[in-house]
Amino acid sequence: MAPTSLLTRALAVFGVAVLIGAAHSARTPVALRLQPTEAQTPATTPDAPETPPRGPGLMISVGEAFELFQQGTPFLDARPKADFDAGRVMGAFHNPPSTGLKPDVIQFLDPSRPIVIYCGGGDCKDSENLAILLQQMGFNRLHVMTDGFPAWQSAGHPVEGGGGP
Amino acid sequence: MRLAALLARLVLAGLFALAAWAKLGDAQSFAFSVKAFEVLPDHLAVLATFVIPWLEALCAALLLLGLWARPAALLLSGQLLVFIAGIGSVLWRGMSVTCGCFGKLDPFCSGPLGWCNIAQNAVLLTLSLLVLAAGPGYLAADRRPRR
Repeated sequence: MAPTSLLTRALAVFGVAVLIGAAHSARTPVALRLQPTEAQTPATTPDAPETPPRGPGLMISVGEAFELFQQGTPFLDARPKADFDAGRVMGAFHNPPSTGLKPDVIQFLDPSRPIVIYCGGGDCKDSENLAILLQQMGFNRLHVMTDGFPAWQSAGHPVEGGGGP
Repeated sequence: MRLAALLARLVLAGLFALAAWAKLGDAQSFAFSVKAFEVLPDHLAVLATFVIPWLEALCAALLLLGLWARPAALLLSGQLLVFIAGIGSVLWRGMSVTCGCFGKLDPFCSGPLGWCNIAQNAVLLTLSLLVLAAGPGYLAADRRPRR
């Protein structure tokens, strides 16, 4: 096969893949970024100065997460299983996004109630990715504890598992 | 050499068909994997989420049939080189990224991306270059008798 023919055919196959992929992409929504829901958007716009705060936002600190913990809010641990087994927020469910949403976890969650999600802090994206999966299932009161489990543990909040008491 | 090319073709066809099926079966998870590399803007990451598995599926079908096997091998070689470079970039930046190569399946390497994934892709690249150099081998539509 002549080199030009080889390249032409390779480009033709690539072009077909791009066309099919683009068409598939247009028909199948995937999300890469977490979108704040109305319930999580801070009501501090000039148009509504008198509106009371609606509660914690989408991204929350360890302190805000602890307040929700004290109110009985369920926590989801999005880290790998080895990290979860080594220590976790007391009572947290385990559901890394790479496994999809686990039915045995989802059955304990109420879409209308707050849920706190965390991973390992730093540049960890698992908590955001898990929140995206939950948003797609209709959960709209999600809160991501951005500093993750290390900050929770450092703050002396309740933990269990290998790293706990 | 023709037997080796046939075997390489069939192994590549099987593995890339599996990879494409696994990725297209859970596009959202594969999109997370593509995003995690942090090399593409979001709109291109979404496009890549679908183009990569469809390219793998098309190439797998062509390799299985032995039709346009060398162009398919050329495309897979290019894709594998890009993957190896991407994984190298992730390791160099010290990031922890899940492969997503075979969706939720981990037939060869488990855990975050590492040297195992580079070795895996290097083996696949060798097979692909074999087909590219030697042609489709036995039982190929490309070699059918012409009238």
